[in-house]
Amino acid sequence: MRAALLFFGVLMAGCSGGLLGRSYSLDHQHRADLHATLRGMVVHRDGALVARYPLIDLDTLRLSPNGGHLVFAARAGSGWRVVVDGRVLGRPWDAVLPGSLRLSDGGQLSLVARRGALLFVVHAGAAPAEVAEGPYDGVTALQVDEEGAHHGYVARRGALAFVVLDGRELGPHEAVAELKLGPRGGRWAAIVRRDGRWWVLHDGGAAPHDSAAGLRFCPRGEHLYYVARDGGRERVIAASRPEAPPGPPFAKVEWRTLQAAASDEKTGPLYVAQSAEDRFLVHGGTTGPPYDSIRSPRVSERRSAYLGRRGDKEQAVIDGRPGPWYDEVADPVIADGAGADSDSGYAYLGRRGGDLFLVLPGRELPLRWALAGSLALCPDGSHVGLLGGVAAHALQLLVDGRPVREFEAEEPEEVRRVWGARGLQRWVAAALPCAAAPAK
Amino acid sequence: MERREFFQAGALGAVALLGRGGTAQAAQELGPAAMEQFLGRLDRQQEWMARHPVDGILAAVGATQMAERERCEALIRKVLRSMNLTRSFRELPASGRAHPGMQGRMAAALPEITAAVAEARSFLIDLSPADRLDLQRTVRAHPEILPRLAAHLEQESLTAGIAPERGGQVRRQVEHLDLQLRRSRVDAVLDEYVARADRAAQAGSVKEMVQRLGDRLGAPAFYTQPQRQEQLARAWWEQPPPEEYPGAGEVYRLGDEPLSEEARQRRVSKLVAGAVLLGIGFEWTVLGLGFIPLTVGLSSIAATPGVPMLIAGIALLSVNGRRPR
Repeated sequence: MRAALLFFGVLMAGCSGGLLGRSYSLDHQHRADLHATLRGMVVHRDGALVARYPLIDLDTLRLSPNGGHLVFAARAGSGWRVVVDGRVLGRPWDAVLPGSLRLSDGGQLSLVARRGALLFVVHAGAAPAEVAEGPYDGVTALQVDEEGAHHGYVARRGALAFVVLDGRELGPHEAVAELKLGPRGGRWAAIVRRDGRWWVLHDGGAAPHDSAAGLRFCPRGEHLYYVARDGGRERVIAASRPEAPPGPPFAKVEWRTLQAAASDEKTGPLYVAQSAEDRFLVHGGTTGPPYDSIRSPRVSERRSAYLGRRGDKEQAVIDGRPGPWYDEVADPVIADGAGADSDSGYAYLGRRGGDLFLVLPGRELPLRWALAGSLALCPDGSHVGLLGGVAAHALQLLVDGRPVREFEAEEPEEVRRVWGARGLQRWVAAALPCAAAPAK
Repeated sequence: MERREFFQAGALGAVALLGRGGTAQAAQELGPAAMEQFLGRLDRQQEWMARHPVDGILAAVGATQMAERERCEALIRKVLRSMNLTRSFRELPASGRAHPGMQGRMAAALPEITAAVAEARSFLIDLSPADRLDLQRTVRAHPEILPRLAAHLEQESLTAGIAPERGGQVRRQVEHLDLQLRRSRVDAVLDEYVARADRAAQAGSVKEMVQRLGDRLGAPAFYTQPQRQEQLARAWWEQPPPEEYPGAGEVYRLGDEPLSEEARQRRVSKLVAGAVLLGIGFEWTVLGLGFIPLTVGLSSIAATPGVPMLIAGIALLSVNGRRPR
């Protein structure tokens, strides 16, 4: 009897309040927890009870990027219902596809739900009613623009494919390879196949190619770029700037590397191109030196950086200026506030043999660490913070090379949550007088 | 030891895990003569793959007029040679894998194996969504392409002197890929191989890998396996050389010039040390641990892209070849 009571007690303890999983906001400052209890499942947001249902799908538990809104799917009666900020939306569904959930900071929700064998795209915002579009046999590439004002996706019905923008079907097409919404203003572009050719559709225009890939809008959304292949050669096309000549042809353009800065009127897009066995970074009209491989290319409003490897050596190239050679180099951080022509405002880690270095403009500081960590800079590049250490349970925060804080093995979760780059930037800002908001 | 070096070293051992082949052979004891025969055959196969024209392969998929023929041909050769070598390695029993001649060949092939894996991964990653859809459309519109290629590869493997079982294995892999591409979404098929390669790239540190190995082996096996591997490797040097062998006792390098005694001692010492180092992989093989290949970066040639990459590349280029210019 005593053993049975003990077992029951342990069972009660185990079943009440067991954490099943959690979801964080983008900056990790807000948290949603899903717990299992004897009376069902409960959701807490930042420790406060939000809802209780018999069954909640953990995969659908999602906070908006700023943590202001919460969504999940809960079992109610014979179907799954979508719950936003504790409010139950519309009709029950047979299933909600977790990967399709999009919840904006404004509370606008988009998702794909299934009823029977058919798929529907569901939207809900400030209005109490949800809107369901469809049915379709397949839905992919569901996306919402930054303002939450426009949405689009690729839908399939039988053998036909459609681009659907704000509920309006465009097509049918033989296939849709890519769809991209601009960050704002309702602009869009798609790569579709018709009559055996690939067409890039954008803003009422259409251009045929042998193949195309990598649709990219610049951050403000004015310009669209993509990689086109014609006659066995590839080049970057500025689709929305008819006056701009197409980029030079290469044997291959690594379409995944294509990106555009906000000020691309002057500098143009950045991408990695291949000719014979060499790879080059192309930025605007300038082609960089040849490398065996190039990784981590990135461009910001005023600056650019990438890592080039030749043989068994690697170097960082900041604003077109190659740095020293190392055996390995970690991704650099760059301060946008520092001018591209000032040779300042960057930091990265380099390893030469068994020695680890913190590389700053004009100097390198040897580190006695085994683990490389996160780096962060002030917006003007005046101070650098580095979190790392000799082991995972003994981390250290250095600011400008001086230790300012030690971390133990078991730090509270609130501390561990800021171990990412954004949290580190806050610590750097707190430790030293940074000029403005932290650099991204 | 750096992680990259560890990958290279671990590759030799871990490739042995990439299949169950060789269980019958594992029961046999290999003598020096049999091992020399095996290595000689392997050398001839590798040489054949390095030189034999790949026109037949390209013709089988209608890609003779492709724009990127040079790149494609180099890739085909790398993949075929890497697959052949690693499969030959794992078909040997543990003592055969420890043979210095086999170890030497694996060590010499590491750069090519590494390149084959890296290029295979980047090849799949670089396929754009439009390329993938084109690939699937081609396979569906021309259902004879991949079966024809499968039959051709099997025939070619026989010509190269490769065991019929292994030729049949490649044929079945191509046919399986054909089925996948015709019935499933192309993204689901190719992403599976990309995900495997990505997992391999996130293998973790040397310490983590050794710790995982220790967890799986248990303490006695983990701590005694280096000694056992050393014994296996040393056993070869206590064997008499095969009769009529021209290498004057040098049993691990066919066709080499006879070495000086000093050079021979240096090589012996190096290879035995290498075998001990790589023995960790042999032990994994003996115990049949299947999870390791996904955790050791460069060893994933047979677990990851391999044949699908080869086929995808050829078929894609054939798609380009068919396009109107």
